[in-house]
Amino acid sequence: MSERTIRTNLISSVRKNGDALVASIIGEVDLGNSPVLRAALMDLIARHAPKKLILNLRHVQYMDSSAIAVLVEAVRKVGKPGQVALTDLQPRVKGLLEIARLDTIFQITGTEQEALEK
Amino acid sequence: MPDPAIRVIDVTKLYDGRAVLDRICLDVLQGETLAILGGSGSGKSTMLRLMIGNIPYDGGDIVGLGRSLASMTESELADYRRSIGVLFQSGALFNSMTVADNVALPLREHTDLPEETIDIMVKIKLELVGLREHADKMPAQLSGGMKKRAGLARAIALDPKILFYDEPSAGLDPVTSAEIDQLIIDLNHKLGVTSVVVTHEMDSAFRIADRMVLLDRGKFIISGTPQQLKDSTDPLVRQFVYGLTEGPLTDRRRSGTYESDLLGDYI
Repeated sequence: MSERTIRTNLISSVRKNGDALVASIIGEVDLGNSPVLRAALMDLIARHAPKKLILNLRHVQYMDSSAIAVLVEAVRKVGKPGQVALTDLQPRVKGLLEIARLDTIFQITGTEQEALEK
Repeated sequence: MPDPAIRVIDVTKLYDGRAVLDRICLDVLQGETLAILGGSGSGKSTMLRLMIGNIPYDGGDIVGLGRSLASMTESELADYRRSIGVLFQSGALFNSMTVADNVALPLREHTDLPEETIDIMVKIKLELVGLREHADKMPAQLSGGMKKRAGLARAIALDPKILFYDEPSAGLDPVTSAEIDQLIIDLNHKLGVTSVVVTHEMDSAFRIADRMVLLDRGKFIISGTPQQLKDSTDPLVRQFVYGLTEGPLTDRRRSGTYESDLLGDYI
């Protein structure tokens, strides 16, 4: 199943894979548009109630801490740490997660497939 | 070479007709940490205040993030100030607010983010500076180093592109000073933040800086890598870099009007 959220261009694709929901985020996410991403992600989680949420960030060149905070909110919404996976991180986004010591809250993997298999 | 985040072009600043900065030129490159060095009265703090748009300059121009500060309207200048962060010497915390509320303040004032997002952002910023467990304390309950770290958490609240530090090591013990230096390095390397550090603490400057600029009595003396400053044969640069007791800086203090001040009309 594949669908495209109508709320924002920040989410380019969404598909289900078993109990997991896989979404790709694109663009730069900062203070200006993180509330839009928040609304879209919370809506996806509410509609699909996934056991695992996998967010592909390959096409996110920049993400500020408001965007990271939105991802933490997604973890709260999905239910428990490790059930939100972030894949294909760009170095700058990875740096922000590392420096903020958020690697225990998210499952961080190189690819979507790795996230699906874990 | 990366584009400059800030260009200082032939800038002069006058106080009472006297030039406290005299035709200064320097570039701050994106992603670098530039240390502006100088003793008391060198003009380095004035340079910082000019670059953050806090005071106007009298000659030349400063281009911050691609725009001339002098040509900005008040609202454009406010936008510019929102895209930079400043760690003031004292930390500049509001004493009537908790540490967490101090950090949340810029987010509440300048964004429409929901409180849930702000709450998480504040926790992230406080974790970055090692103060998350002190979120509910009042500034009066913090040590000098903790106040500085809280000030840094507030300075990075809006994820600035450029961070300015005014004497970040002043008044701190060596260990706390080294911790603050490491934070500056981490923010610079991992987040790609451009950093401008005004300091006279050479140990700290050599730890953190990619490039250094030395000012003396409002004039530009030298710019280069830390190694280039260490290798300089200029007596003034050597005295400042190595903290020598003999040299132009001390000679200047010794000369002058001391004798005539003491003896006045008796000689």
